[in-house]
Amino acid sequence: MLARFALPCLLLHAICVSAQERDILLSENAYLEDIPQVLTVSRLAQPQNEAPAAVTVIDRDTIRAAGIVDLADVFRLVPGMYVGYNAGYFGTVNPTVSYHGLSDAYARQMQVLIDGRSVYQPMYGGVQWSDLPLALDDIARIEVTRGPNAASHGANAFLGVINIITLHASETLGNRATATAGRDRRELILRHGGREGDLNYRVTVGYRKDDGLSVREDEKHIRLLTLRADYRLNDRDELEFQFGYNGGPRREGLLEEDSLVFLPRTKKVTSHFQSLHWRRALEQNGEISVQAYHSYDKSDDDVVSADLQPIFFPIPLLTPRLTFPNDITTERYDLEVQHSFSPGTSTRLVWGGGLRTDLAKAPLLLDTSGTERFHLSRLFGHAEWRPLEKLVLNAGAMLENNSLTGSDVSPRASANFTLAPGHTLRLGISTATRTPTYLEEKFDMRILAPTKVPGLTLYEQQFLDPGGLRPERIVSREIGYLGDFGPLRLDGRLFHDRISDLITQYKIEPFPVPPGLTPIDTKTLGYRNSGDLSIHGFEAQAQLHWGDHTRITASYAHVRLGPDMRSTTFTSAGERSRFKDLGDAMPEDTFSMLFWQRFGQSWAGSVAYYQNSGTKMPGDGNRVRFARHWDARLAKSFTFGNTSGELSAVAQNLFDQKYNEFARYNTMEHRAFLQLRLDF
Amino acid sequence: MALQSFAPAVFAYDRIMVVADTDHPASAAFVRELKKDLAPQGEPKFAIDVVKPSGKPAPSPGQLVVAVGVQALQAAAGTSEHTAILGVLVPQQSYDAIKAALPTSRNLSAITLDQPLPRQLALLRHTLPQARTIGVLLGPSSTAQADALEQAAPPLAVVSEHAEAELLLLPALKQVLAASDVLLSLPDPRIFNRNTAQTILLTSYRYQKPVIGFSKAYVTAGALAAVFSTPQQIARQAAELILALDPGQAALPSVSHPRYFSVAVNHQVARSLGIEIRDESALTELLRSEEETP
Repeated sequence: MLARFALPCLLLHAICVSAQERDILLSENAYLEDIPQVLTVSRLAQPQNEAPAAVTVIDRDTIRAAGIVDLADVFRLVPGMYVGYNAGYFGTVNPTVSYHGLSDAYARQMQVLIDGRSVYQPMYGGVQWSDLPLALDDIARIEVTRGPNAASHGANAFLGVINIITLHASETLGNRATATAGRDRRELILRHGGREGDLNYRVTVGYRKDDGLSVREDEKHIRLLTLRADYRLNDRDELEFQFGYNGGPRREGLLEEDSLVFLPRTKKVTSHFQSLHWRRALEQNGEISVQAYHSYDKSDDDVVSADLQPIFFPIPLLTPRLTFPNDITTERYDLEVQHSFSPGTSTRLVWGGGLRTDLAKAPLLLDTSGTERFHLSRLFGHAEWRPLEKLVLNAGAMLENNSLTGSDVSPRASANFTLAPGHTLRLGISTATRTPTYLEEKFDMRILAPTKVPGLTLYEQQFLDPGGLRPERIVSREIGYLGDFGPLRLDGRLFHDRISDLITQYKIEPFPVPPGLTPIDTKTLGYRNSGDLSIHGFEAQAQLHWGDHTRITASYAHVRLGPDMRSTTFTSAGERSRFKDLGDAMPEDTFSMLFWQRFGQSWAGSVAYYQNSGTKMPGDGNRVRFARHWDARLAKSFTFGNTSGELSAVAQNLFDQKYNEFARYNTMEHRAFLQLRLDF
Repeated sequence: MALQSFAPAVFAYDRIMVVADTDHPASAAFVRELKKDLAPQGEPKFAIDVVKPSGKPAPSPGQLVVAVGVQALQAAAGTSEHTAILGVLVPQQSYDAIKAALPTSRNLSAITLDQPLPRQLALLRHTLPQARTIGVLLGPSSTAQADALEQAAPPLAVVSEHAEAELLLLPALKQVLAASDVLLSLPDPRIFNRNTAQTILLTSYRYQKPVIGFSKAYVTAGALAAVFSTPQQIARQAAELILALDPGQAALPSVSHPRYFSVAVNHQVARSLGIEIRDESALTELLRSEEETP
């Protein structure tokens, strides 16, 4: 018996072996099979020396080394960027982030995208940074285009564009827990990433409680949930699905600045989005991409007034303290199709189109219980041509039509010339438009104070937009230089921008009074297209990678805003002086530096320094003086069995320099926290 | 058994049995090209039978068997001991494993798929002259190659990490990328497969580190460059080997690396990483001429 069993296995020894060890015998398929195309055109960043504009790239290491907790803070490292902490006091306590300033609490002149999804808000304009459904640690890199880029991103890519790219789900396999704790800040983020065959996914949940500044009513509770699934359909097609939610109560309001209406109160914020992105890789590095997304943002705010009776004395008010709901809901549906291909070795083309609908409901601000609809359609094309080895020409244009301001074309052109290997000169001209926000176009807000006198209702018309605004326009010209000196990389640029039809606030007197109401003032406020403004200056950034252990990045910008006082006629002295003050709506000199050093295998330390000259920002901002501060971070990484991690300590405003930022009501203090990160 | 093993066999190399899964495009391409190359003037010099590995190949004693792929080689190795077997389109390590399980007397040889390490290192040197440290990820199948690489690499340094389980891949990859200038991929199904290609290529790109692949598919997917041989190139070499066999010759020549090869380059990735790179034919020619002039 035994022999009969043994014999076949002796004869067929190889087969017997292979049956036992099949899973370690390497198949020829490893060498011969096709694998999915991973680095498709849209995943590859354009090399900086060929890009049509100045670009600053912030990677994960930089975000971590700079000890960033609030995403907006990282933009302080970008030359020419203005970051105002806690800007605004009655409608937001979010930071304002704007390239070349000019912004009040809402940076309306810059586009912000996360994985191709615009998070620019149509109501006030700008971005509510702490409402983004985004975990800092899921970010792969951030590309900041310094200068207009409407040809690629459409209206509102006006002064600059921030493009945030999150990690692919296949890059976040495993579990990670990150706990942050300080005297006034606590956060826990949990992430799980996994794979099921061709599906990679991750789920990130988080909770943050941030007390904010001691002098402000700005406490935030942030609940976060994000999901990303990348599904490989075949070697050419990939589907990416994302869902994100950010919500929670936020404190807001300021006693000193607006003692009448917007008293400190808690509002509830809910933001979520769903996005589906299909990519197909084509031959010769071509790609077709179709992205559809929906986003929803709601702020549930009950405004409470002070006791108004003393103001209206002797008329007795029905209720001395007014309360009224100020719920704001905006929604966006967006579809974009893009096709990129190379018709020849020296040419690359991208073209596509998109459709968008924004819905907005804000009964208090727009004086209608209905939903406002905004429609946008666009068509774009971009060509890159390399006629000579040393010359890259870029040209592109965006054709847009929207239901508010009609049709516009925003072209752009640039030439990058290689002076010598590693030295590139760039000449560029770029144009863009900025669409008026709902509040600039349709603000109609009145505060009614019913009285005990029969038939008498007092009211104040706070805003009444005449409407019919034209978009703001910019023409930006630049000369840029990129230099590669081994471990040192330099990026400098001289720029001259001209903005026309700037949208500004002005006083309206008289205004139509609805029957049955008695105004307490003969004036109200609205927005109009006023004059022109120029921006010029220069900026530079330097990156030094000294070996594997030392990195230094530094940025400097000198920016001058020049409101053209003769480009418009002013309706009042106040409007004139506010327009003139736009000249101070950006620190003339900004400087930042990050020094990062690794000690041995497990220790890393970094020091960041930031300084801004004085400003007077518009809107809720006021005049603040020169400010500087230092941040520092020390981190120790460790491994413990299959668990690895890092313990770090971060000190912001290390020397407790009590400076003001954006406005005098923001006094910045020293903040510190510990962070523990575990991978398991 | 013992008698048969030591008996000098006489092989008649005029009939060839090709064991190949011709449903597989690469195997089919090999067979097509081999038939063409074995008929130099359009006159077939050999009678060629094509049998699938699953079709129970039964070569007659003394026949030459060309086994295309690992599965075919396993099937051929299980047949009559009096055949000569030439494995093609097989990785070296799989060939070694199959051979090790057979009596030493078996007349077995192969043209492997593996490019010799000096050739891969030459490609790395010519595409990335600034590179000082090579990073490699090792799994169960590639660990054996680590020593050979250590010996062949100088003056370049080698940083390696083991990643036996899938969950360890990402941390190991990050460590390697942080400490090296380029990731050299060594074939190992546990490390490099359809599923992990995304993780490896995306993460390497995020670290701004180029990847040297081992197949053309990796270059299409996002590796910077690769040196590889097509089934047609292997077929050409196999045909040359067969045509050079002496009718009275007993043993096949010893196992050899691919003689003909191509270089593939992903210019988009090179540009994005700021790497100046020659075109594919220039690099292929450069490597070839270097190998010819020792």
